[in-house]
Amino acid sequence: MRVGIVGAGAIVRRGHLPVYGTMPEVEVVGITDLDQRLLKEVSEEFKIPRYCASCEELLQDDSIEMVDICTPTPSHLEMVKVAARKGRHILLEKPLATSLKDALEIERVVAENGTKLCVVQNWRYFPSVTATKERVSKGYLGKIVTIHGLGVQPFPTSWTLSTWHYHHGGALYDFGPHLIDMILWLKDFQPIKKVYASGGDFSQGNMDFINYAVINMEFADGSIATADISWVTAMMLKFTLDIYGTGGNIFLDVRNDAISETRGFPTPLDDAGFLLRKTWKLGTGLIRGTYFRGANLGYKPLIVGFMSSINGRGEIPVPVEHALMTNTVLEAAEESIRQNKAIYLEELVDARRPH
Amino acid sequence: MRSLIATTTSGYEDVYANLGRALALLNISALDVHRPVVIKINMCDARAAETGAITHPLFLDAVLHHLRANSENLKIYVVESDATVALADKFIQWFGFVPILHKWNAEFVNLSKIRAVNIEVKGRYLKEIAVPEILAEPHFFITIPKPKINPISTITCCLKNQFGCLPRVDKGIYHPHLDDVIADVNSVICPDLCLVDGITAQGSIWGPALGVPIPLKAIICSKDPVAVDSYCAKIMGFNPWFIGHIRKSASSKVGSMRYSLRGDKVAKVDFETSKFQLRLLKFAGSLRRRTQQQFRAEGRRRG
Repeated sequence: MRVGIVGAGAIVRRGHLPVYGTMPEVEVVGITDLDQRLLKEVSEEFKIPRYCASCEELLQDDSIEMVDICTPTPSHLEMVKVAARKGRHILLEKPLATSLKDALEIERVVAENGTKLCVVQNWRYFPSVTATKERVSKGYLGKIVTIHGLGVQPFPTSWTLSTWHYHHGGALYDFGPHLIDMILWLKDFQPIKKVYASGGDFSQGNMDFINYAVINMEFADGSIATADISWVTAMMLKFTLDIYGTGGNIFLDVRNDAISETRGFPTPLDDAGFLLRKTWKLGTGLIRGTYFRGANLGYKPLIVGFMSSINGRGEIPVPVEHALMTNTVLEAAEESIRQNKAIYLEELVDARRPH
Repeated sequence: MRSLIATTTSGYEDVYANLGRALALLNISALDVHRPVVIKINMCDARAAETGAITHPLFLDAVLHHLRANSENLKIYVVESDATVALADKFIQWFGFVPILHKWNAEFVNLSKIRAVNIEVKGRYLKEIAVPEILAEPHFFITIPKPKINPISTITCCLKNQFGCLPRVDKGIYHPHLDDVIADVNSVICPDLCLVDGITAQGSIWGPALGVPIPLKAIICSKDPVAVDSYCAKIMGFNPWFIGHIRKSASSKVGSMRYSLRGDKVAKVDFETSKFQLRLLKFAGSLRRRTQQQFRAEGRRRG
C-alpha cells in the first residue's frame, strides 16, 4: 500500500515511520509539513522519495491510497477534508478534533466521500489490554458495574514546543482520548446518558485551560465509569483501569502491561502475585528491548488492521464512530466543568450537530 | 582562599527578612547596584513552586524588594530560556510570576528569543558560546537556583542554573558532556551573587522536576557559585569532589571549593536519594535511549 504522511513531528519520527519501515507491504511515497527544515531531515532519514509543502501538493500523487495525518489536532478537520475529497483513506492521530462540532464535521465529510477513517488508539494493543477486553467480552467479570480509569502525565512540554495543546480543553484532549476510548471500548461503546466532571485549572487562574479533571460517565445500562486525568501531578505516566463487575474485578496497569484479576477477599498473596508478574514482564521486556518501546508497539497491529479493512478484510479497528463518542464525552466534560452541572450527551450532540 | 557563604533558616512567609539577614552576613547591607540587574531564575519544567522544582515566586518577590529598596530607576530583568521541556513565556504566566514582576517593575526576558552574541572560548568542550545579548552587556548578574537532585549531573544548583542561560532550545544535546559544558558556560556567564532558594529543595531520583519536595528551610548566599554548590552537595549527601561539574568549574577558576560558613546552622535533612537507585536510573535512561534509537533505526533500514 502506498502511503502519504501529513506532519513530520515527534509522533511520526518516533512512532509511525519506524513502524512503516518494518512493513514490506507499505511504501511511504511522500511527506508534508510546514517546517521545511524538519521535512528535509525526516525524508532523508527515512528515505522518503518526495516531500512537499502542503497536503494538497502531496495528494497530487494519485497513487497514494492511504494518508496518515499526524498534525496538531486543531488542523485535523482541514486535513481530513483535503484527503477525503481526494478519495483517500485516512489514518488519523487521536483525538478526532478539539471540538465536537469539528468531530461531527469530520464524520460527515468521511461519510459523504465514502472513504475509510481510522483513529490511532495504539494502547488498545497491549497484550494485557487485549486480554482484559477478552475476559470482559466473554463475561468472566459478569456485568460491568464500575470502571475507574486513571491517566496522568506531565504537561506535554517535551512533545512539542508549539503550544497548541493549551487550548481550553487542555489535559482532557491530551491523554484523555486514550483513557476514555479504553473505557468505552471495554463497555463496547454502549450509549452514555450523562457526564458530570469536576476540575479545571489547579493554578487557580494562571492557566486558562483545564489541567486536571475527574469525569463521571453514567451509561444507559446504569453502569458508571470515572476518568481521572491530570497534567499537574508528579507522574511521568500512569495509565490504569480498575474494572469491577458482578462476577469479578480486574486491575489493569496498561503502561506496565500487567493485570490482576481478583474475587472474594483480595489478600497480600494476590498483591505478591501481581507484583511478581509485573516484575517478570519488566525484566523480560528490558531483555527483549520491548519495555521502552511502550505504546509504539501498538502502531503496527493497528495499521495492519486498518489496511486489511481498506482491502475489504475485517472492520476498521477504531472507526470514526468510536472516536466521535470519545470526543462527545470530552466536550461534555469540558461543558460540565464550565457550567458546573451534568451534561446529557444526546442533547449535547443535537446542539452541536449542524441543522 | 575560602569563599564566604551566608546561611539563614527561613520559610516563605518570612523570606524577605531572612534574605536581608543573609545579605548582611555577606557584608552586603543592601543590594546597592547601579548597573542593570539580570536575575536568572530556575524554571526547568512545568511544575508548581511548592514542588521545589522551580524558583518560588515569593523568593523572587523578596529579592526584587531588596533591589528596589535602593533604586527605583534600576533596570531589572528576570530571565529564563526555553528548553526541551520548558516553555519560559508560558511558565512565567502559569506559576504566578507575572504579578510579582508588575509589582516591582521588572521585565521578563526569554533568553531564547533575543539576539545572542557568539563568544569564543578555550573551553573543555565548547569552543564558542552563544551568550544572550543581555548577558553580554555590562550588568549585575544574580542567579537564583534551587538545590535539587539530578540523575545526569547528580546535583543541580548555582552552576547548572547558568547552563539554562544558553539560548538554544535543544540543550539536551549537551547532556553527554554536561560537566564540561557547565564549567565552560560558567567561565563566561558567572554570577556576581548567588541566592539559593533552599526553603523547599527537591530530593529523590526523580529530580529535577518530579522529585520529593524537601523542606530544607534555608537561604544560602554567596558570591562564589562553586563554593555554594560544594556546600549544597554536602547538604544533599554527596561529596562535591565526586561531582564532575563542581570539580571542573573549580579547576576552570570559576570559584573555589573551599568555603567558610556564616549564619544559621542548616539542619540535616534527608534528601531521600539512594545512590544505588540513582545509578540504576542512569542505566535505565541509557537503555531507554538505546531501545528507542534501535526502534527508529529498524524503520530506517528498509527506507
